[in-house]
Amino acid sequence: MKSELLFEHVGLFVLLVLIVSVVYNGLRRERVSEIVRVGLQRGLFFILVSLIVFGGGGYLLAQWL
Amino acid sequence: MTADGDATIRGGTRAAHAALSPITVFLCVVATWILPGAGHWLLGRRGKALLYFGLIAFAYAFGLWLAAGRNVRLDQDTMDLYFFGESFCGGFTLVAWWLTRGLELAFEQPLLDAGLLFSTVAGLLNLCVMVDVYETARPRPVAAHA
Repeated sequence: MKSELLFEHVGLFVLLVLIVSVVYNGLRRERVSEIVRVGLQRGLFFILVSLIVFGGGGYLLAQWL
Repeated sequence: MTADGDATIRGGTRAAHAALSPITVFLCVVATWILPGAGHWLLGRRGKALLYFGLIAFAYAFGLWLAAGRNVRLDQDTMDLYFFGESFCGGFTLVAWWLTRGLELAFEQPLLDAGLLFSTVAGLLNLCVMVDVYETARPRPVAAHA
């Protein structure tokens, strides 16, 4: 149950970040393929970094406390 | 198409947009407020228009689905700020508010916060798209480099 909830929230986070990233990276660009490619690249990088920092960091903090 | 040809088309489009009247630009921005992507469509950016419409409409509708239609409301003091964010998707918010105004927060909504987040972010993204429509219609002069 706990892991289900965790995966659900991670999935929502991934989806939201990817949507925001694609729209935001399209603001100064014209070609749709470039917008999607750059948006997904940057969005996935942000997701990876935030999961490592907040997920890993939160887990370590929880162990320590 | 060559780079020169592409630049010519882009320059031509920019020159054509420079001739747009302020009323036309205003109408394009209002069209985006009512329907995400409509302003880009009117300006001839069909691909961007469809992309923006698809993403923003999906985010808004997904938020409504997560919150079971209870995330667009004016009768809760705690949701005023969310409604303000959602209102940048003017057309969607008006329709959603009208269709769901009879629903009450009678039972616990486990994903209400997530639904609020998705629909509010969709509204704020549409605000960025409205600015992009203005920037497309009225491009800023490029700074001359020495």
